[in-house]
Amino acid sequence: MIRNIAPISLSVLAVGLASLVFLLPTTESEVGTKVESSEEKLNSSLYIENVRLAQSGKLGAPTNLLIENGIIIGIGSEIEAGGLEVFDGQGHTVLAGLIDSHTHSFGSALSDGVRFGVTTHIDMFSDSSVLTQAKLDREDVSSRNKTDLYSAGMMATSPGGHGTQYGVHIETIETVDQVPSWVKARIAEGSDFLKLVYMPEQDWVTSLDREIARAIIEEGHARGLKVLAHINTDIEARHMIEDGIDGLVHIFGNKVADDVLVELAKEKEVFIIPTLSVIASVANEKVGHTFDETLLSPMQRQTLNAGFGVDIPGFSLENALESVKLFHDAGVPIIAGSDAPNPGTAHGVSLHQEMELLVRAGISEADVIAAATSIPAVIFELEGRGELQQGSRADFVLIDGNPFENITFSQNISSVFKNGKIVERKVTKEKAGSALGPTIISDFEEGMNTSESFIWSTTTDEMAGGASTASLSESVEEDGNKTLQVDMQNNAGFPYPWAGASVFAKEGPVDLSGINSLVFEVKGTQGQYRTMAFSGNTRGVPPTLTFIATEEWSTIRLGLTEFEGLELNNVNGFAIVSGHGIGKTQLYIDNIRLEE
Amino acid sequence: MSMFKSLSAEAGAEILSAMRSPSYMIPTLVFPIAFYALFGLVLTQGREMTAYLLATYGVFAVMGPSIFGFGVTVAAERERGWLQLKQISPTPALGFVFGKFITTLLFSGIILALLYCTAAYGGIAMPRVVWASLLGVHLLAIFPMLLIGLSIGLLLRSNAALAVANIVFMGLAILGGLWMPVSVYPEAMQNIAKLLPSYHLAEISLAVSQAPGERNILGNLIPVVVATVLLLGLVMVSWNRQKK
Repeated sequence: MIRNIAPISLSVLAVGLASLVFLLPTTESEVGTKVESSEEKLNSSLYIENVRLAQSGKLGAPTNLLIENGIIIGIGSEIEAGGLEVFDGQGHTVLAGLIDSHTHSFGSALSDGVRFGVTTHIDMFSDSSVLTQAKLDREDVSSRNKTDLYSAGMMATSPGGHGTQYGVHIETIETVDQVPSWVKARIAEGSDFLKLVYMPEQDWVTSLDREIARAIIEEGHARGLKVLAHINTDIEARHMIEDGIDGLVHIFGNKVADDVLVELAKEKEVFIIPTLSVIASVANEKVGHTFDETLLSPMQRQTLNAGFGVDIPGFSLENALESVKLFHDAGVPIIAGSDAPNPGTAHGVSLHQEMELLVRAGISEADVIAAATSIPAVIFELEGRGELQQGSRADFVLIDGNPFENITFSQNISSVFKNGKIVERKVTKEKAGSALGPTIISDFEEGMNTSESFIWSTTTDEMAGGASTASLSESVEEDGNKTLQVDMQNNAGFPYPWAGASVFAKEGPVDLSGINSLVFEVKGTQGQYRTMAFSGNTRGVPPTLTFIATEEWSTIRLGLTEFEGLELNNVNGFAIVSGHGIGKTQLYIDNIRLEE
Repeated sequence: MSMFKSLSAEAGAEILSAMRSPSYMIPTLVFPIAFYALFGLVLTQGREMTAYLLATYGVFAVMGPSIFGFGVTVAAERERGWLQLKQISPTPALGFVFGKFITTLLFSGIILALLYCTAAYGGIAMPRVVWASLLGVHLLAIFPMLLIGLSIGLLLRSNAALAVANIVFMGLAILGGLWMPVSVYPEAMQNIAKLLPSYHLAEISLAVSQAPGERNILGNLIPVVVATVLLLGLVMVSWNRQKK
């Protein structure tokens, strides 16, 4: 009897644990798909017939491609299918998978990129926690609908400097002594190169000083890493080039480059990623595109339609275009990068816009295509990318027409291949929120949180590392009417302070397609306030409208369509917050409602 | 066949004895789950910490039955002369160890199952292969831990064994980063962690569960193997000394 206890209980345990492994919740994460596709990999051969290669400045004669396990193993008109699966290229032009050399790849960036033919991202600052996985993913040649990622990881900036405003964790640098350990930490995290922010000429934000920037460049080089710089002006660019920077991740727009600077850049062999797309957006110039709107993901739509919302001096697109041409003609490598998803740009889409802008600057179509393929592949040492030849990765785009005649033909995408597999270009539909008709969010008569659908809370820049505070309370008017009292204190600590009240849908996003405007009554400390709207894919600065409050009650009516980029069928909520200034303000809000 | 019978009987008796001692059952079964539920689920925001602590608490979970099941009980039984009796009786003396091993395996398996269910309830979803490899790593963690327990049991008197087992248990858990990431500790403590098998086992678990950060499984596996071999040597020496 006692002899049976151990065998039985161990068997029960073994069966139990085995079935538990099968019952535990699973995700379709990278590992899962990798495991499945490793089998698939074995027969992932594909034969693509009748395509024309557009590279090295020439559109080739019709040819065929043979792909095995994500790698091109043969190119030539004599190559035959030999019983493999055949894909008819219908005479389309083939471009090597495009490389966007200035992105911030979060949210749907990697799926959005690949759907538009951008198969490699060179990220110039994002959360370093994704780097390890990114390295594994980009080495994996099995089928994936994702752009491969190379990244700077965390960037080097000063306390309160550019980059600290996004709420992504940054270890800032204050002294030269901190540089070696900072660089060591980036290497440990897996940064592929370093990026620093050097903008001491800007009085609205702090910056690394030149000595620290130089120390970062030297330390990076000593450890075998390229070091790139974000600059705003020609003088900042000159300092960095003199100090040995490898490349600039923007062109300056404050003036046209002078001969001395162009000559210096040439002599020091720097490269430039001008990011004309984002400069155009800052300068309020819309570039446009010819893509089917239904292919845009919510994030792409939001960021493409957004604007910076403020006039930032020193960003002239004309100056930038002219300088790019000067540098290019002098032989300084120009690389295509979009700086997506900054306002006015979108992952995938904006690289095509960037190519268009580079042509507008006066660079030939052939050089522009190289700027988005072979040049960055050489400079960032991306093996097997940027050019289609035997042994390179089977990442490429099929387009209609000859892009050497018209660069916008790059937007006539008929199909994208990543690792030798065709990419699903349709956006996977995000679940829309439940529809909500006209409704009163709160009249505050029964208290703050009596609505069935919405919940109030405070919101401040504390979530981004700031020090502002806010509090909500009920207030009773002389006539007994109850209102919401919002006390806000903007404190220094975050470059763009905010404090106020937010009201969010309780049970996930709601569909406000049937709603025309957000209406509320308000009075308080005289001044300008902001209303922000949040939808499914809001990333970075949400769409914002301003209003003026006075000491008398007034009715504010904000059209929902005026919130640029707001996904109306997927709204999370709104926030009513203080203006930009430091100090104390107070608002009373009443009868906030959604009207038809 | 008689060998199998005697080993089964030995293991069955051990299991029964463990089940009948609530002072063993409750702390080893309940504590890891309760702590994990509290620190991994209730007191954290976001699932990252829940997933992180699942990897490290898995190692913590198997430490209880391994260290206490061996350390304290072996010391007590040794003092009572039970071990000596076993060693001179005709049954294989290692059956004594085998029975305890089976018991430890059984209890560890149960705790891990409960722990994984708690994590799943807390919203953790991972690819099946990750669940399976995590289970594999956590089960493997039994071996070094059991040897630690056995060394304590063979080397110390029962009163001392209980105290030392407690200290070792807490030390391995806290300094090894099973309750919180060692990165929050001062550098000196981080260096101590690198000497502990619990730290390396936790790192391996974190690596297979794809926690953020760069990890080198081999770099953690080697210290674990070295520690296991050293402990095995220590156990063999003290076992033979015991015989004399």
